[in-house]
Amino acid sequence: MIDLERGMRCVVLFGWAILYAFLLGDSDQGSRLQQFLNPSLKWLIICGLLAAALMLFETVTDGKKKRTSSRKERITLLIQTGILLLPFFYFPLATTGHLGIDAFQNRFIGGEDIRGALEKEEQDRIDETDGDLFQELLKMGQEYEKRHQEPKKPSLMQLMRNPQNYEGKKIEVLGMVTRDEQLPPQTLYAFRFFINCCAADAIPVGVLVRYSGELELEPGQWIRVTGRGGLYQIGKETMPLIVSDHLETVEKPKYPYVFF
Amino acid sequence: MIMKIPSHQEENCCPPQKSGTIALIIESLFLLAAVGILVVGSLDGRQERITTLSINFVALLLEAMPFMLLGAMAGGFIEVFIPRKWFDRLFKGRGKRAVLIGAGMGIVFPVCECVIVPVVRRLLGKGVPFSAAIAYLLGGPVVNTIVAGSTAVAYQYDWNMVLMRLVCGYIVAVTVAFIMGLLFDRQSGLILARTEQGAGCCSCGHAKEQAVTFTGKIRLAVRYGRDDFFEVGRYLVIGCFIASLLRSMISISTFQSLAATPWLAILLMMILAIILNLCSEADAFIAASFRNVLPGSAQLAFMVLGPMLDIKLILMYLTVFPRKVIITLSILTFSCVALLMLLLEFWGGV
Repeated sequence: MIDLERGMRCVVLFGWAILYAFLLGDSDQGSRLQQFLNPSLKWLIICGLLAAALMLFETVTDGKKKRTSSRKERITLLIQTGILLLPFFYFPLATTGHLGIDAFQNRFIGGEDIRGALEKEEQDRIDETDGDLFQELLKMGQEYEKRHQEPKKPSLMQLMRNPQNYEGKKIEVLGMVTRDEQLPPQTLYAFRFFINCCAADAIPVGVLVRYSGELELEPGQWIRVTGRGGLYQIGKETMPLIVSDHLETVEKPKYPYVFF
Repeated sequence: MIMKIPSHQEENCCPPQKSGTIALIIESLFLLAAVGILVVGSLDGRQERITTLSINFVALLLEAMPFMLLGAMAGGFIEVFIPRKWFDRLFKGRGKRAVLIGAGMGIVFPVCECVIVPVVRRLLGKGVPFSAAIAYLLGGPVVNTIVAGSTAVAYQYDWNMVLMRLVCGYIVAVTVAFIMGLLFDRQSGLILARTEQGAGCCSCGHAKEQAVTFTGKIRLAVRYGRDDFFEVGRYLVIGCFIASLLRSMISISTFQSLAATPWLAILLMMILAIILNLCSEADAFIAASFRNVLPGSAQLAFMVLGPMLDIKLILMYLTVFPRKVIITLSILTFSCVALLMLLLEFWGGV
């Protein structure tokens, strides 16, 4: 008689061990692990692999026969195994996609504050000719540009944490576009997801981008922005701002997420 | 070498986990719904939302499952290698002090919330008093050196917040454990199979095995861990799925806009903690993102309650406690955290 319980356990443990081994490898898109977890948690995946492998070994070599006698017991076993294998149904979609605008809208904190502040600011709009902030930034940027021709490339995390370090300096950032009808014209938000532990706890970090001219950009499109850094005060928070002098669309980067 | 002590049920020592008909129906419906959501969502043009759900679900499980596997193994090793008398020495005759020790044991045995249930199951099997086990169950994932470290990093070394989190976690764990100890004992508070047999080869405890050699002991520990994993693991999957689904559907800013008053902010952050099911080592980063948006007490409520009470934990508690105990434990924990945070808020804030 087939030992159904042992067979099911082997399938589950083998599946998880293979999954963890798979994640430790690389794909064309870079490290597979980075699609889901902070790479510093590689040790955790190795531990998971070892634990699953040990349990699998014990299950395979366990000489004890177990009988799954009744029909109800067999159905229970199948359902419980199905639940433990459920992540494998979702894995193909998860591994080919990435967090986008939908996740941004659910996870962005402070949206109302930014919208409110920008709407207020819209009343006395800063433009390229008469805004104090713009003029100040322009002046600082020109002075800085005399000394440094190449733009700095801070990560969005660095910009978010210490925006004052980049005030007036020429900087370049890479991020996904989101636009909101409530943002003033010629303003967008460029962001990436910051993962602390896993993609489920990812939060968007980004920078306001003020540009000139007309742009046809789709939400979720990746862009590279070069411009001068500035600060934007919203309540007690200081947000980074870039007054863009060059903006181009680019392909999704190899590693779309940023890590601590 | 592993020897099996003769038992009254030699033939079928470890049947598949007995699941009531209702539980079986619920689990079947869950599985059908989870697969159905994937299929229907992919077909009807909600690709982005389903992708987000998939990423959340897979990522949560990839992170939590190793902790679960390791926790189950740790439980197995406790079962095999730590003699019962060691726990007797630590807890027996200490009365209420056992609760104080249990709530602070996370400092020495730092485990996150995904691990805590299988470990506590084995500790109970080793004769750890009911109230002390409750104290460790609640306090372990909060009053914990690793959690203190992650909170410090998330709050940019704001040691006041770190200390507040640990102290509040300890107070809640001790308070709830004392009350639970008054309301229940091992007989009424635990699922019977766990109370006396000390967990044998399966939860039934009929045929407890004993290993003679060191290798045999290791294998036995792994076997115990494996059995625990198959008993508790599916609840982790169900909990993570529900959390991912809610995380994909509910906007955090909804909570933000509703949280205009401190008491409401505290309440909403507690509900958010239950829904999000975040690991206690990661939740501080989410809480910290609410700085300058919500009061400190609301952030603290999120960080104290989350590791003690969330959807996946409630489901995993089903393998240890009867339903009435889980309901009592949930209400007490929720009320205690809410009360403590309101006191903090109205005594000057955090």
